[in-house]
Amino acid sequence: MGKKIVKPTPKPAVKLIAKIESKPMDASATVALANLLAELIPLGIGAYQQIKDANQDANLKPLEEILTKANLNADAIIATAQAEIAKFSPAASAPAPAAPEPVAAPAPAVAPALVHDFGVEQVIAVL
Amino acid sequence: MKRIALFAAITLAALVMTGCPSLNSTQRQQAAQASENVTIVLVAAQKAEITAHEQALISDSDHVFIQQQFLTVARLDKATNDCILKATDTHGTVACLTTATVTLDQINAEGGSFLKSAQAKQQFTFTLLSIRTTLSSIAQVLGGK
Repeated sequence: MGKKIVKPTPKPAVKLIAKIESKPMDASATVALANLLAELIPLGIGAYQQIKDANQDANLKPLEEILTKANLNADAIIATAQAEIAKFSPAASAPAPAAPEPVAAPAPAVAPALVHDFGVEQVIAVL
Repeated sequence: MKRIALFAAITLAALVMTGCPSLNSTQRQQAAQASENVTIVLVAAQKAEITAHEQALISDSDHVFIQQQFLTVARLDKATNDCILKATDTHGTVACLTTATVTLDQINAEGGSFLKSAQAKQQFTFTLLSIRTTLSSIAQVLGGK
């Protein structure tokens, strides 16, 4: 009773679709994109189902358990990414020179941990 | 239409969070769940990118760049988890999510200017948009802007 229902706004999606549709593609790019779609859509559906299951369990799981699972998933992503990068570089974890260094956003005062994790210099660079 | 379908498939996972917020959960649990959902989307995107690279749809340099950005996003997610764990109120929790989305925007902008192939650029953009939607939708449910 009295709970506020928040609905997603379609604006970002509409804008993105309009932007994508405005770009013409040649035949080879269309074929390549179709191949990519064949890989992505099943994965997207799989991710949807996993998220749906995870959300249904969210009420039962304590905060620490959810965060632990998220951290484990993130660790797996990091390990996979490092392995892929290592295939193309003698130094496993050395960043490619052309890749721009992601910069942390200036965190509000209430979120000091995130600022700390990304380094004061990077935050100053953004400011 | 296929590009719209691609967008719909990837963002479906993110949008479900907005449509079905866990009203009985605490706010920090909702934020943490959004963070876990980010990793689920990211795992799927990472697998897809590796497959696309193996099929020569994405160049070696773009592949390495995307994996580096996925690595960065995964570390950002861990930092966000730490932030959520230490947050003491709704405002702090929203701040954790907002900070992550601002950082994602920067990573996305840099990726758009670096990546060469259309396939790599689209997959990268869709993935980050999906992740951003997952975080920002929960931030909005919690009262953020």
